[in-house]
Amino acid sequence: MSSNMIMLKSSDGASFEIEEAAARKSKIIANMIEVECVDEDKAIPLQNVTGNILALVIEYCNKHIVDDDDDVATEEASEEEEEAKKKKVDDWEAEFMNSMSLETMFELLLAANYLNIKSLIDLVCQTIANNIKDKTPEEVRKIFSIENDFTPEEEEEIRKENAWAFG
Amino acid sequence: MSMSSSVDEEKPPKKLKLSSLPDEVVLSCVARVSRWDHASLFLASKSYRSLMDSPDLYDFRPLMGCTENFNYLCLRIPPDPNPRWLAFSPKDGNRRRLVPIRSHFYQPPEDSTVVAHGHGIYVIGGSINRSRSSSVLFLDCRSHKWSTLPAMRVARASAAAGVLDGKINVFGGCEDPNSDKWVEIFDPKTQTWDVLPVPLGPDEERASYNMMLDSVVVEDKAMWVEVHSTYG
Repeated sequence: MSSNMIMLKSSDGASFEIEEAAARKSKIIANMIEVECVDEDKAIPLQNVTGNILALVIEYCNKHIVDDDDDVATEEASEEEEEAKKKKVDDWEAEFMNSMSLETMFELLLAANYLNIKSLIDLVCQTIANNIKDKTPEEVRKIFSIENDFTPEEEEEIRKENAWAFG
Repeated sequence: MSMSSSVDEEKPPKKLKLSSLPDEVVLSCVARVSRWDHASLFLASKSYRSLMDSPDLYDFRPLMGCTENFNYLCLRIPPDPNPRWLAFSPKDGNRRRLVPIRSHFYQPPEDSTVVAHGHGIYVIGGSINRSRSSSVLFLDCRSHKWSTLPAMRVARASAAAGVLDGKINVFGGCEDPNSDKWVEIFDPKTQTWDVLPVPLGPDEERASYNMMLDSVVVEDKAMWVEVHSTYG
C-alpha cells in the first residue's frame, strides 16, 4: 500500500505511526493535513491524549479505514453482503468496547471529542447509554460513582412524579 | 527533603466521571437513554435531575435520531366519570405494557378534541354535564405533567382540530354555527389564541348541529366532515 504514513505523539511522549487515510477519520488531524501544517518528519503532538488511549483511537481508525476501502472495492455488493459486512463491523465494535472499563470509555470519549471523530463519539456514547438500560437509580449511582444528595423526602417526591416509569 | 513531592506522586489520579466530561458529550450520552430509564437518572442525584430536566436534552434527541414513539390512550370507563390516560411504547418488545399516567382532574368527561403536537397532547374543549367547555389542557409527554392553557374564546364540544404551520387550528363545535369565532388558532410559541375569520358565502349555511365527525390535515389544507342536523 502506497498510503502516506504520519506520526502522532501522545501527551506522555509515546509515538504512533498511522496511515494518513486512517488519521483523517479525525477532523482535527484532517484539517491539519489540509492546511499543510504537518511536517513529514515531525510527529503531530496531541496534548490531551495519553498513549494508552491514543492506541485505542488508532485501533478504531485503522479498523474503520479498512472497512471504507472494502466499500469502495465492492460497490455493487448485494444487500446480503452489505448486511454481513455491517454485522462484522458491529461485532468488532461490540468486542472493542466490551474489553473496556467505564473509566477508559470516558477517557476515550474525551479523546474522540477532542480529535473530533464523530463515529467514535457515537459508539462510546451509545455504549455508555446502554449501561443505564434497565437499571435502578441505586445501580446507576453505583456504576457512575454518583453520590446521592437527595433527602429521603425529595427522593419520595420524585418517585411519585415518575411513578409511570417505575411501574 | 522531598517528602511532599513523593506524597503528591502517590496520590491516586482523580477518577474521571461522566459528569466531568464536557456538557455536550454528557448530553449526547444521556440523550441515547430510553425514556423508560430516565427516572433512574432523575433519581441519581440533583445534578442529574437538572440535566434530565433541561430542554436541551429534548432538542438533542431528534438530532441524533434518538426519539421514541409512545402511544397514548384516553379511556373513560364507567362508572368512573373521569377519563384515564395510559401510555405504551409500540417498539419496546420487552416492556410492552400499558402504564397509567396521572390524569387531569378537570378534564371534561366527554367530547374533547385531542391533538398531539410537539412534546405534548392538547385536550381541547369537551362537554361537562351536556354544556360545552372552552378549557384547554396540555399533557407534557416528557414529564407527564398536566397544565392548563389559556381558554378558547368560545366553548366547543366535538370540534375538529389539526396542526397547520405549527399552530393548532380548531373548527366548529361551538353552540352558534354562524359564530364569527368558528375557527380559532392557538400558537404554542406565544401561548395565545387568535380568531380566523371564515366568511360564509351568501347561500351557505352551517349545520346547526355543528358537530364534527372527523377532520384531517393534508399538507397545508384542513378538511372536516360535519354532522348534519337533518340526518336520520
